[in-house]
Amino acid sequence: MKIEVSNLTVGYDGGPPVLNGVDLGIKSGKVVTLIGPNGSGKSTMLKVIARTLRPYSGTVYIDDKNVHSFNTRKLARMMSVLPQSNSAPEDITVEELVEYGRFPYRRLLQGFSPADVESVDRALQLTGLETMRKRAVSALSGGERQRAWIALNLAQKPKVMLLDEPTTYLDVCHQFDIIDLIRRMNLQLGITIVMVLHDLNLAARYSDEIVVMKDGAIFSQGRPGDVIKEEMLREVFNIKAHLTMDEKEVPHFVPVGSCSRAVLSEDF
Amino acid sequence: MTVDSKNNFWNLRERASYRCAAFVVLGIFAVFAFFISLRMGSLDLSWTGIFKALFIEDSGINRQIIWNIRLPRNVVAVMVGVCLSLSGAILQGIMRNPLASPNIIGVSAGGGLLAIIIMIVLPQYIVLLVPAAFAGAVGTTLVIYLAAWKHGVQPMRLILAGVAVASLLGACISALMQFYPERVAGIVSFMVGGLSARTWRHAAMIWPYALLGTGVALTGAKRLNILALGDEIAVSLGVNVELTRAAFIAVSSLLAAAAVSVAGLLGFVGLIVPHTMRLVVGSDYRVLLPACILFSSGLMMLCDTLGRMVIQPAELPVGIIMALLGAPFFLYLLRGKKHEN
Repeated sequence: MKIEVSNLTVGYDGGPPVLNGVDLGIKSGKVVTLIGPNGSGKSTMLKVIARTLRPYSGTVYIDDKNVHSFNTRKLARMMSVLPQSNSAPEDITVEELVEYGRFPYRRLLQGFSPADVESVDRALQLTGLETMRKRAVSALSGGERQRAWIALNLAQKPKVMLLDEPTTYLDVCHQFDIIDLIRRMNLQLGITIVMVLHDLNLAARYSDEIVVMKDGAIFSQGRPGDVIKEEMLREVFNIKAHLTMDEKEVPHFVPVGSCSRAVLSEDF
Repeated sequence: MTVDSKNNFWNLRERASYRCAAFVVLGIFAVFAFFISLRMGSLDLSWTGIFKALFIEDSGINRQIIWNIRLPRNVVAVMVGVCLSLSGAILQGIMRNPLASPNIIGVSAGGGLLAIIIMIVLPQYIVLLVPAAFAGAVGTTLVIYLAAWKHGVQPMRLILAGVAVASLLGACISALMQFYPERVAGIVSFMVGGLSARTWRHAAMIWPYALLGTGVALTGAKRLNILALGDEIAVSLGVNVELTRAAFIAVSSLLAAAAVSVAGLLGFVGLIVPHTMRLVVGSDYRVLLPACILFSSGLMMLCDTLGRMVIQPAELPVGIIMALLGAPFFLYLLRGKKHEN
């Protein structure tokens, strides 16, 4: 499933536009990561694709069809969304949460079908939560909880998954857990991944394509090695950095200071 | 595992059987309240007297009391309770706010103002009391909804608009009471909510709404569960959030308006019953809403009966009893739950 964003202008509550006339193309079957400083419009872009936010103008096309012309249930079987922060009732179990992923497949007056049961079991298995299915989501650790929300997404059997900062609030080890899981879903299930990440090194290592955003526009887009450059880091993120390439030509950088602070220190 | 099962009530494997037990208890409570309220009152009847009056006799004083006074009053009590508690439970869910109640969408203020205008300014039109209260309640919801509308309605804005409109209308009510102090006595029962002299005529007015509420409770529970997971997840799962929320608000408004127009401003039921049941059976609406139906039915009948008994031959409105008993009971449950965690 490919996604195309065409001439998109959008803001919040009729306020000034956050994205202004933006075009973006996302190829099917890839892991595409949006990066950019705070307020650059990454999450906004994701929200428009997820149709949580209605654009002022411009269109999002899913397989050449306007996202708002889809039947909402039909679209929910193709595209799932993991918001940045989630909250569930205190007493909901992992299993109950994941079962809601089958809501787009429900038929009137019919209970859970064998296909539903199978999808839920499979989602729990892929996320390694089978042994915790009867536990309350609120009793899980941060990493497990995030996996439970991803399992809810998986139960939808989507072709595209949109994830807004799926590793925020997690420690380093669990960040890798989640990102590995996301990569596996892409490779084994062929799910197209569109996500927002703050950790640029993590983004570089796990993405097929990086989209750099700045001030509500696309700054550059391409393979990590082509996009993550010292000039880009200085111009977009305002940092000085040492960039190295590892054996697989994945760029890795070490920030050594903020450019704006460097300017200040010269004044002192 | 042992730590979990000790610390977290909901990790218990026996949750399903616990819920079954809770429903049995609630069912018994409702049936018990029903028969107690048939028996007790200014004239105590015997069980055989009640049985005969219900099924055998076709005349006599007992039959008069049962069929024309206590039974219809019970039926109204049950339906008022069902309407208010379902309305409150639905609103708390879609607003994702524990303080939401039928009052928050202006039902009490709107219904109250029009009813009080009829009662103290235009008493010659008293026959219009029920429809006027109903129109006021639904109309105020509409005003609040439109006032909160800005590229869609967010729960917090709706709540704030509700509070603002309610205090405006509350001021109008107070002003009217200032202008007509000699007529205020008659409206006290309406202000706190009472079932005195409610009969089949009132039951006939409210039953379609009680039925509507029960229907929504049975069919809409899953959508309410999904809305509780947040707007973004709900959209991702193919729920039209804006439309669904508007529909649920409309239903809540109709339910509460019907109850208020028949029984007065009995808002407390809509707040306390859903919360109590949430503490007892959990927050899954597929279980919570049926539990609200049972508990509110029993509670209304029981409190109404108590209200008839405590200061005989006079009556204490059910709303007063409800608040006097319900609030401490709720506080007790709240503390118990905290202790458990």
